Amino acid sequence: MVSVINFDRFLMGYTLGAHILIVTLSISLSVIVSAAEFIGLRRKDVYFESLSRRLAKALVIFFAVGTASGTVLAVELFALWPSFMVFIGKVDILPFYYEVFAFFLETISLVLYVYYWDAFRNRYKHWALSLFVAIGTVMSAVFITMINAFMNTPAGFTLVNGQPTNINPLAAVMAPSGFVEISHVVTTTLAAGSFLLLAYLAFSYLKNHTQDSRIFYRKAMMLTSVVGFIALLLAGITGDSNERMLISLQPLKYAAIELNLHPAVNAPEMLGGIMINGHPEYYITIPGLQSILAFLTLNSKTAVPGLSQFPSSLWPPLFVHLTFDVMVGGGTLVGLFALYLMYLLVRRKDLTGRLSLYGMLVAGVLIEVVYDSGWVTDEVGRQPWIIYNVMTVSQAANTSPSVVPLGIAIIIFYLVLVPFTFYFAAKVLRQERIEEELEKSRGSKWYRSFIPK
Amino acid sequence: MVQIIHPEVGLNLAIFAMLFALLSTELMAASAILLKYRESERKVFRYLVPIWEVTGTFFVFYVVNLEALIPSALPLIAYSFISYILLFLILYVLRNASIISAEYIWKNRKINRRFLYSIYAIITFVLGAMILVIYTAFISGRGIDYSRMTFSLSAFASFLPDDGFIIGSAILLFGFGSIFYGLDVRRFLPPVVIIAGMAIAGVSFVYLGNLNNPYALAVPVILTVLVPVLWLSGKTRAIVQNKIVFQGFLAVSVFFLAYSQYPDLMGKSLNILGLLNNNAMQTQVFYTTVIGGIILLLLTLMYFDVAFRKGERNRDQQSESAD
Repeated sequence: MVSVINFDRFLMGYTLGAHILIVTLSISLSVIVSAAEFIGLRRKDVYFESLSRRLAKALVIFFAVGTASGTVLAVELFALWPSFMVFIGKVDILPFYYEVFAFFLETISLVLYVYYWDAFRNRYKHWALSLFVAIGTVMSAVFITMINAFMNTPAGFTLVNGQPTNINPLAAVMAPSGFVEISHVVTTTLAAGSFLLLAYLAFSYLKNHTQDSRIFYRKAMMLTSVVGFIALLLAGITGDSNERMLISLQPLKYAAIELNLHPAVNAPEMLGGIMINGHPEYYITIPGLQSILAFLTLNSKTAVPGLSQFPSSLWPPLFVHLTFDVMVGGGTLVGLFALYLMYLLVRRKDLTGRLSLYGMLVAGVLIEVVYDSGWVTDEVGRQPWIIYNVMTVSQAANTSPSVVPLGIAIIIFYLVLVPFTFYFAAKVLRQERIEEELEKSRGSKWYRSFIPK
Repeated sequence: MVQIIHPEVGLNLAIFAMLFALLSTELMAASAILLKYRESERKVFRYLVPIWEVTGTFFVFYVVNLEALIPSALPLIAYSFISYILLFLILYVLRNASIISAEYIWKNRKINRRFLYSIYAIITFVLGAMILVIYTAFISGRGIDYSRMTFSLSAFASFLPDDGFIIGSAILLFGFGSIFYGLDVRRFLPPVVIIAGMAIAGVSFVYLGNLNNPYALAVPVILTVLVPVLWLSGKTRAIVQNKIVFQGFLAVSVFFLAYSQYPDLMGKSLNILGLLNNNAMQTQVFYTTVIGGIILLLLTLMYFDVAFRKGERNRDQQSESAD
């Protein structure tokens, strides 16, 4: 039978998985809405201006549900993991606290941005609000990742009999893995949301046949693919740094995700593979590649970490090797496709060919699998610890059986909520025809101000 | 004798007071939506639609501040109220989903805007009641078994002041609602309802815990009486119908109401000062609250500038062009 601890674990992972599906879109929409409005204003392009208006509606919907599910997570943290939150409260609560103010920046700016669109004489002031929304949204992700970085590489205290002493909250905020982890999370989240949005835009392009709507979606796809490409490129670079950082800061996690049984010099990269009777099976290897990637040199004499260096009781579940492979492999595929899209744009070719459009649909789905696999690798790779080498998940959990029935209700509720949110946002966007949206923009004071009478 | 409040606890109470003031405006809106929907469309939604997200943000603000203030009390809250917390979360997401759906709902025969707003209103009532139950339970201590970390609703409800405070608060907010949103009601109805609500909630509050600073109750009493008094006169009505002034009154009242019990909780069996976080964290949280508070103040000023000044100007221009 499933223990309450495992139920807590599943419930947290499940709500986190559902939440990040929504959040990827919130973050990417905030950036793309801002970029679209800026381009619209600079080029006096009514299509980009309408794009920002249209996507802002979706942003509000994802924001509303995303903030609620974010609150669910915040409260779940202390409800399901009370001992963990006691520890965090004593040592590293500051990032949560900083995040509240980023959240305020995002909320208040978004309210003003969406509900008072035409109240600004100077449209650049209105655009500045979108910048605040994007900053608030991205900073929220930054601060939350700081907590995750602390869980992976705790700092800023001395542990005496299980209790933190000599607490330095600012040192805890600046956990050693913080910078690398934050840069990877922000870029991957932006990339995931952008490609998901790109899939929606490609789908809409295929469904719409009027001239205005085709121009509209073509421009939207150009902008979104550029944002997605830049984010993905940076995600690849930061992801590489992230993995190399594990060698020194979390060697056991590194050994597990690479499925290295023993430390090795000139180690091969293992693709695929599951552990059967203590030995990896069903895999292929590329000789020496792991060491080259790990140390960025051809003939390194340093060994990569192996599982045998650590007690087996502390090993994380070794399927993280497969989730890691899915993340890297899928990310590379989407990256190659993004490169193809950039090639088309540089050659001034259209993104509306069948290969591009259907590729966008596939990439949108694949990138979410990649993104979730990344999170699973990071979180499961730290098991059995909730705070690395400080507190285990079992020590942190709420073992009250009361968690179970309402936890099941939350699981069912999210099963309805997430598809509903995507359906609702798509339906709202479909309600107003592109032509009507463009008409609204053309009727605005901004547009009339530069159109000769 | 005036008891100096610990700065961190003071900030926490101030955040709670502002949260409750915001939440109250939603509770008042909820009763207006259910009882006077057509009028609410003109008078309530204009205010409610931009503000409900801010209430949610303040809720998170309060929860995180509480976690930073008294982390060692978290297991007590987590274990005692786990069922309520999880139910609260489901309802909270449903609240957001229903109001955002109401804002953007398309023409549909089965689910319309009124239906969704009514769902939002009912959920808001339940959420408000749950917050009041948890808050009241922490003041009176009834229903909470500290050693076993459990909460019994029946034990809580069997203590009359607990029920009286919640019912009285509901009546009080119902009375405030018609003033805050300027609803068309009989002239003497709001004062009568407000005084009745204040009497029930006030007397119950006195018997809830043990008042350490009873004189502080004078502030909420005076401000509560002042609201209908100012409203009754045509000359001063505009003062209380000003949303900022009204919310200011509410926040100040809630702050002093909470302060009257300071520093004890749970009927004097728990002293909050004994649960405070370590000094290093308290210092950092204090600085963060001050800097964050300044950012929040600037954002609030920006909000009022845009929402009221530019928003009004835009509406005027739209009505002129319509003429």
